[in-house]
Amino acid sequence: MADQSVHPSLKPAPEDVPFVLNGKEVVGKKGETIITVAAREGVYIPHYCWHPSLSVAGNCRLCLVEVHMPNPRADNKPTPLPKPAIACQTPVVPGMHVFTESELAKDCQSGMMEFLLVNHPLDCPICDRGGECMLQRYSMEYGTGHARMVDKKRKFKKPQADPLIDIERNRCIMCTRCVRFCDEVAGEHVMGVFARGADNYIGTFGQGPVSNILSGNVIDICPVGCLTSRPFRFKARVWELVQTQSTSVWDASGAKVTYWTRSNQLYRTTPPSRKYHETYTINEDTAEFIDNITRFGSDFPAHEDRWEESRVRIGEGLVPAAFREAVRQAARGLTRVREQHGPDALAVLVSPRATMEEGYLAAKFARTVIGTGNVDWRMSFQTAEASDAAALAFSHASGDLEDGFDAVVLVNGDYLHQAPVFAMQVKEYARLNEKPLILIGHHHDAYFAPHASWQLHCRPGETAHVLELLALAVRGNDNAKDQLSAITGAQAEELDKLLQLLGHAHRKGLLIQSLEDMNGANLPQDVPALLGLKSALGEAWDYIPVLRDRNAFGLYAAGAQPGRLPGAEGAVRKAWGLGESAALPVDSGVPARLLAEKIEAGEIKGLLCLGADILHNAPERERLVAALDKLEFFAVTDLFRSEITEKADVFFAAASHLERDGTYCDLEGNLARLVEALPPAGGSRPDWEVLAGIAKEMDGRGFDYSSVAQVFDEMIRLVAPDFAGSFKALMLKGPRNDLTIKDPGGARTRGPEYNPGDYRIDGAHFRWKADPLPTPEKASPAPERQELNEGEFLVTWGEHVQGSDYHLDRASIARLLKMAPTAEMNPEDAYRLGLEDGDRAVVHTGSDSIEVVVKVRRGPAPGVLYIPSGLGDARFAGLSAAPLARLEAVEAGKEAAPAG
Amino acid sequence: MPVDTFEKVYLPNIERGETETLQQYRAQGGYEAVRMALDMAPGKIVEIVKDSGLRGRGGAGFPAGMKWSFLPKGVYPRYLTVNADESEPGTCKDRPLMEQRPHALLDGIICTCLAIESELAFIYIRGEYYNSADVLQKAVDEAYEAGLLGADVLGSGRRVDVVVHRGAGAYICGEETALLTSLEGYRGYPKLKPPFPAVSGLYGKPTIINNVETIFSVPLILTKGADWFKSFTHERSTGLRLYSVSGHVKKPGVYELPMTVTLRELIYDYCGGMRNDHDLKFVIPGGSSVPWLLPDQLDTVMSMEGVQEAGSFLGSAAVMVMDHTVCPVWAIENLAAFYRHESCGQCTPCREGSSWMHKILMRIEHGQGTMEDLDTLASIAGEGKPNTGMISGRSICALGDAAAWPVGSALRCFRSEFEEHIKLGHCPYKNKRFWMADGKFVNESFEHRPSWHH
Repeated sequence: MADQSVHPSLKPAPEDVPFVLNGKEVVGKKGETIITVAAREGVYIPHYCWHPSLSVAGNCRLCLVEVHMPNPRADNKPTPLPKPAIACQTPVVPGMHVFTESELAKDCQSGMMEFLLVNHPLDCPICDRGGECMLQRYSMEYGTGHARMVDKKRKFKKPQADPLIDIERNRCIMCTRCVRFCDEVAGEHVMGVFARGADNYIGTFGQGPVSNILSGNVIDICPVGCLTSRPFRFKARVWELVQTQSTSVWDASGAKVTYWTRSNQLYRTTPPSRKYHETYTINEDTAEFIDNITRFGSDFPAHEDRWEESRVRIGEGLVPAAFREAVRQAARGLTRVREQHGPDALAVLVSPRATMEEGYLAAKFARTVIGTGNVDWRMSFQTAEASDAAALAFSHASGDLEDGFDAVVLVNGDYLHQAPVFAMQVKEYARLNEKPLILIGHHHDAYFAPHASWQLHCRPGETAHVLELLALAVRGNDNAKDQLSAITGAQAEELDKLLQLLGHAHRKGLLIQSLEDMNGANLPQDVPALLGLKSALGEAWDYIPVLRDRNAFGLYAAGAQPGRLPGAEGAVRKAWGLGESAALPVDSGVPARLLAEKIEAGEIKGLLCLGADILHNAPERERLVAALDKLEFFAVTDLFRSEITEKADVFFAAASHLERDGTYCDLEGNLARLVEALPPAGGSRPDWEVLAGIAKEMDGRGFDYSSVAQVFDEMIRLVAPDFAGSFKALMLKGPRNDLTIKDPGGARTRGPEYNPGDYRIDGAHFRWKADPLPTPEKASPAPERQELNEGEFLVTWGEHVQGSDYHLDRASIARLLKMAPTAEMNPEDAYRLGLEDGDRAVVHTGSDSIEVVVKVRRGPAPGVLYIPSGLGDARFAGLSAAPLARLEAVEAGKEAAPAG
Repeated sequence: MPVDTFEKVYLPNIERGETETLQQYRAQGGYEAVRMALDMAPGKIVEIVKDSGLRGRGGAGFPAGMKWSFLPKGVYPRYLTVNADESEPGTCKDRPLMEQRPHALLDGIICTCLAIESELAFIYIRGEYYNSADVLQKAVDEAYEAGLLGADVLGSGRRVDVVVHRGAGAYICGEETALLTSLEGYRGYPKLKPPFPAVSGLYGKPTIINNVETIFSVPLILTKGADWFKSFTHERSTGLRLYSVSGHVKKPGVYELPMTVTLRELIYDYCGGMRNDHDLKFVIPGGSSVPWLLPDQLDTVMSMEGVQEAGSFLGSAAVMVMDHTVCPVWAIENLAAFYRHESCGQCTPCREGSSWMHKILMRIEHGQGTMEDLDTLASIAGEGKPNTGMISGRSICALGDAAAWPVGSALRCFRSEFEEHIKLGHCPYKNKRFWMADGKFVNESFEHRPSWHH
């Protein structure tokens, strides 16, 4: 029985356990299992059900090994156990002898392989898993090579449960990895085992979909061909595909991916492949999971709406033009506006998914060629104050998950849908290492809630107040503790325990805050409040702000926003060839958030937009689109024709994320490389070429780049000092295994086409140099609580990573996945309203109403309704974002009440 | 019928009808053991039970007192779970105990709870035993009313609660860890061991799981003394035992006997011999899961050690006797069908092995087998001994062994009959006629075969 008096995170390191593995003396740690130690020692024990990220099921029985235990009755002589033991569950014991290749072990392995093939259809020729199947692999290595089974095999009907994941039950070996993944990692109990004995099968409850954003990973961890990707189904054999190691362009966690391509087409996206027997294949034991957006969303560049040629406006229409001609037209248009209205009438917008190089060039272009500070990528914030708060947050960002943590505080946010893999890593680290999770705010991520050690709930608008009180309580203010107890409803002794935990100065803690402005204008208060708590907690605590924009930190670092240069001013002036006296506008820029306003006021007359997605996903989209008509000149780069590109004077066909190189920075400060997996389609060009071209055309100096590598080279020298202690590492020349994987033949996989000076960019973490914010002497006054009538809720509007990029509407995830809109509420409210998880209800805001499926989770605070957006058709175009909503239950079997 | 020289204590010769009331049980001196147990230190009760040599009556025969002493010190709450999921084919001993003497079981539960310092006991009763569950529930209600159960057992200040929980018809839930997962509300899957339930069982707490008959024995040991219990001893098997005898004997039923009885005495003395004085073909001595015994092993002493010496297990002491009208291939096909149906499907060898064995046996029984099938079958099922073949010893729980042992032993005992099926192309018993008691010659066992065909 575990010692409950000490918190697990304070326990001493486990002691060493020496034992003998296949005749070799090895040392494990107390509590470790044979399979983990063996893997570390380079002894591979075959397994299906065991996965390093999942609990031990012990059901495939493939890892049975022969174990001899020291017998205390016979002078501790190793004596064979009566039965073979499973390596995935048997803990190592001092003096034990383990044999993984003995006659008995081999007999067990071949026996299990024969059993597993008894009912397997052996349809490898038509199975998508063929070539990377663990059943095929183990049959070759551990199987008998012939079949004795002559009877009829078991057959199941094929379910149509999930639009993205195909379930072929006949191939299933019942390892239950998918069931455990959904339960433990994805946090949703949606899959299960049904029926019994040889007739049992895996499925989803109520034949429903596997709705989680991480669900696609069950495809990779399935060791056989039972769960396969629907979009990839029957499209190609995996060994014909070329693999490119790249990174996700949506997940700000910086997830690494492999793009599998052939004949200028993307076939599938998976987590990074690994080497297995001289070939690269997907890794069934991977813990590097990716989200469904990245997995099923990367294929939109092949959509038929794509414009592959640059275009210029002639009269009413946009006609295809040569790239040089488009560049000339753009340069002419921009010059004209600058000459007539001055440089500040021009603005450059950069997509939040642009690479650092593109952001850097945009910043350089705006500030040196045009001479304005109007360059920005931050469109999604509700207010200009919120974007300032975000800049404050960025300047204090530090820390990463690599070294783990002893405690983590998460403030408001739907992290799972804003940075899915980051959220998963935080939760998994806390769950597997028994580290305390503390949730604070009006909306806690329901993904974390079941694992939370403390949940401090409050109403919307009170978060800053709660954080200030907590900071004061940490400083020993008992009055603040009582107030905290009153406002959050937490019991005094629970708070005492929390304060005791936070007070351990030696701990490495993480403060995580979502900068997605889910509930209006709270960020300007919440960010300083949490930074105040950070100072109260001390040096050992790191702060990670979370934005769903993939390259937010990279673009911030590259200086692509008002008030920020890529590095120290002197260095920048030198690099950009500007003298001491030359103008270098920094602070004067207009935030992107105010763009519509400024265009309407006639202050902005010309716009260069790199990536139309930033306009498509603007909060006030209609207003902005209408304002574009007032521009004198508008140039845009994008993939698709749309109502925005139709308004352009010059359209540049952009290279997609599959078709260009570049560097991304994730929210922990790790750099990852986007690698060209396909040649640019038609006449499309990467944005950096467009910028460099226009700059040269406008007589800009210092834009003579011949590759992204040169841009990176110039940029990283300026940016690197902001990455803590890693400047040296960045400049080190050495192998870049994380980026390039070269097949022995060199034909199967490829790394970047260019060679950017061989930087080792792994493990580069930023630590911006901002002074700590002081903890306020006393808390700001508590906002007054609004009385809620029966059925009334304060609404928190969700921001989903899928909602941040309109391109995804043309990806297979949007085509296939149709999900009902949902609304999340606290069990307390659900109980009062007589609602259960899965019930239907109608939400009214103002004069709008929409039917939703109710989810009962411990995420939202009592009185708060969380309406997520972004999955499938669940975007609430018809529901106005009011702070207050009324909810009515819909009786089973009845249609929802008509709107209004 | 031999004259018994001992007093029957589990199922005394009492008239049916009024046996299940509290009043009746009190008249027989009931709940005396509870009074005694309340006066004893918990460790003392465990000592007495250990001293008596009481071994589990569910099948594995693990010493009960030793199991109790495995409970980690100072960890509470602890739970007692009574395994009343009596589903082993051939076993029918717990049902009369529960239906006729429910209060005696409660007596045992209270004593055991006091011994292991548990305040909550569950009776996990087989779903099909709805009558027994009713009787038990009534008895529990009565006991609560009489102050025998509840927050204050007989005014002692000790608490014992009892919950009767009905299963839903799965054989696997008789396996102790599957029983716990089922009781917790999950799919009845056996858990990986270690940790054993005594360390981490129901809801992750220390839990003791004992068979009904084992619990029933506790008050008897307390009132009559460990020495009385040890007066019926064969090697390390102590006490009286309930034998459920079924099959082709003249008087099948539940027999309460000391474990010194031999198989021959059991069949020919107590059960009146074979029906129609047929020849004995084979005996399954301990529930369907154990290897078979042949007529030349009739002098086997029916104790745990005796049966084990003969190459089988006493298990739940369910003796199934088959006469020469029974086709052993059909019999084993029938048993294999049972295990195929009842395998929970969690682990590979049991799930795939039980179904594969049944498919092969079906073919052999219907005359479509081949000689290679016999080798395949032998390699899967082994020799009818533990840890032989491809299943036994490699599955999560003992159901894998239970499925493999009988098949292996049937093949070992009757290989020539298997070969005859293959050579003839049909079951040789199909056209045979046997003399029956009413003077007719019929093939009863062939014509009344239960169908397991899915």
